[in-house]
Amino acid sequence: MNDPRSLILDRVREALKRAYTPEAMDAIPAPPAPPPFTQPLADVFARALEAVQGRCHRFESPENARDFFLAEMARRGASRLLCWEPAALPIPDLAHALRARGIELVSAHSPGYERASTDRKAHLQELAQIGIGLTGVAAGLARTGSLVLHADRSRGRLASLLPTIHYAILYEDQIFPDLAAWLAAAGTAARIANSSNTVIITGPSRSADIGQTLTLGAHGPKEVIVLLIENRRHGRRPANGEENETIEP
Amino acid sequence: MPDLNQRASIALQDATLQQALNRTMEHFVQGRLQAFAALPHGEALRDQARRIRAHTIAHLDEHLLALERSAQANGTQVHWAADAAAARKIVLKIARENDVRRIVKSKSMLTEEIELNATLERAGLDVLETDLGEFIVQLAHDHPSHIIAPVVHWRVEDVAKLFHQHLGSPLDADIPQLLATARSALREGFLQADMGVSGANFAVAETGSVVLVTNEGNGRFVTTTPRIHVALVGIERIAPTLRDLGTLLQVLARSATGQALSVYTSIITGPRRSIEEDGPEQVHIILVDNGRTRALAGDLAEILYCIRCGACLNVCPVYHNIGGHAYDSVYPGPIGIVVTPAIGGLAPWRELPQASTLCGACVEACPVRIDIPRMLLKLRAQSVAEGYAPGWLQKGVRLYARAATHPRLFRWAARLARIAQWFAPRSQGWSRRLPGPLAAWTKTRAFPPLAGASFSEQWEKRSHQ
Repeated sequence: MNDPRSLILDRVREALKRAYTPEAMDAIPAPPAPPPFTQPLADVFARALEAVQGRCHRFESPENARDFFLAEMARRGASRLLCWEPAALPIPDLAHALRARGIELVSAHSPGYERASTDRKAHLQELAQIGIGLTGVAAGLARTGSLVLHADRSRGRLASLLPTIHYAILYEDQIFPDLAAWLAAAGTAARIANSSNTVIITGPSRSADIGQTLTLGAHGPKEVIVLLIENRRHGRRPANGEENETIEP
Repeated sequence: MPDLNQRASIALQDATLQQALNRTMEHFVQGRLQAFAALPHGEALRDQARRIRAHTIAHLDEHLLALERSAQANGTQVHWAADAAAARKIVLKIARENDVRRIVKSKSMLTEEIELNATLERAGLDVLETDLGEFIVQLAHDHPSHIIAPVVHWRVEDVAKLFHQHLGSPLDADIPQLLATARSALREGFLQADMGVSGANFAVAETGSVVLVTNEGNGRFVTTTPRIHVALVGIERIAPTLRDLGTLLQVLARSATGQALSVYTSIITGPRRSIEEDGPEQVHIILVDNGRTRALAGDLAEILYCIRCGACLNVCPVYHNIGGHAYDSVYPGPIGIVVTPAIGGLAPWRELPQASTLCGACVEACPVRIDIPRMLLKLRAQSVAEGYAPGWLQKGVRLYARAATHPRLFRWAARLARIAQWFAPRSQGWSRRLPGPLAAWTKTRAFPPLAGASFSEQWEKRSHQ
């Protein structure tokens, strides 16, 4: 009985004999489903994102999005980007085009990063100097204008967290109606179970703690800018969970 | 220590607090109503959320075991803590075994409940609160006054003064400047920390995940940059499946701040996998009882359905008037006056169940429709049974009960009272100062005059017409 685990479990079981738990059922029924959206999901997504102070730029093709992003980097005078591994960026040739313009692509993985705490901290300090982040996403949620990202081999968490500005690449065929629809989709549960971190991002970081006044950029990015692309170049939609590796011809 | 009534009087005379409460509570209430109105199936989702919570609490043992199994399978280390002291000891042990010096914390009411910070600081550890509100509370040695808006009682100029003192920002800094000051101070903390400590909005039994919801992003930092993440999880915080999590998340933010979703929802499923780029090397879940099984055993189990959104505080006429500090409990407002005695026992918290008008606004606002007034009546009855109610009240009620069950006696008493009331001072027709033990009633309220003829007399007259 000294073992706190059995102590707590025994207490729970003993308490449950006397617990008044109104409306408790043995199994939970399926959740209510909302009526489907009558407008295209991409329109709903874009509007919802703007409503939470995010920005949404829409493009017909990945090439248009790439050109826009290159112009943005030039406008901002960026020399470094904190991003996913270049092969995981879902616009073909983007990494190549950025490097050709002298922009350094940095991803969180570097040798020795995880070994000693001092190295880890120095490494984080270095990454935190980079002002712009670039990632793809695993899914978009129309109702709330949210982005879903899973951490994995080539997709670090820091690129969407450390920089002041986060650019995210989203294809229209990745948009689900809402959180419930995404969670119910085939592959989602496995994807969550196999990643140490799944994050759902809904607009830029915010706080209303000081003076109860909404202010952007508390700890995370001050700006979230989504490049929403209509058509894939290769016309193949990846299965949910497979994500959008660039499929080089 | 002044009693609840005295603390309430102090709060009522605090003009700054009153102004802040008036402004913010209304804002929260409108936000919640609009957020649900925008959702075609909002009410159905609340019903579903209630079903999920009811089922989870009624089958808590099974879900705890399932959570432990899945968490261990994903590499999370699971600990069990029977009380606050045990939970504190486990956190300290993890810190010592891993040579931890600096700790960053994400906002967690459970860590307030178990008074974790004091223990860690006594052990020589550097603890930094990173939720902006909690950071202010920590700098000023204050206490949070609202579950989700800890410094609702602070004015901008007070924050400016505090930051000027501690962080060197200008005295006349505006809100964006203050936020930028806090951002850079806390950013340094995130990058230098060895361990992150968080609570959990939910823990998912299906996947063994800890789910954290924040708007600022501190929840993400605390669980990403330090090499160790420790999550303190109340044993009732379980969502059985990801599907259930989806429902609960959809009602949580709408009820709390009127947002459709909070900015960051992190689903943390174990430590960094060896192939992954970043994240902590260790993740620990500490399952904390600390009185929750006491609450579970009996009439108050329903309070464990709570998902800590704070909506009941915002609509409560008592909270709205006195704010969080007057309660003097970690959890204030309608949820606080039930959950505090439910987990901590009634004896030390006997005043709390009185801090309610039983108006039921909390039930209407609650995303999982917890019947708080029902449980308050249970607690008040228990208060009388255990002899905590004042003697005059007990005698008075007994006297009234005797009269009310004897019609003849009742009629005579009523006639007597009707005559006697003309001797009590009145203003605008209402009695303001009743004599004897009844004075306790009119100290804070007016008493309406008794009608010239009682209901049964009027009824009799009417049926003769």
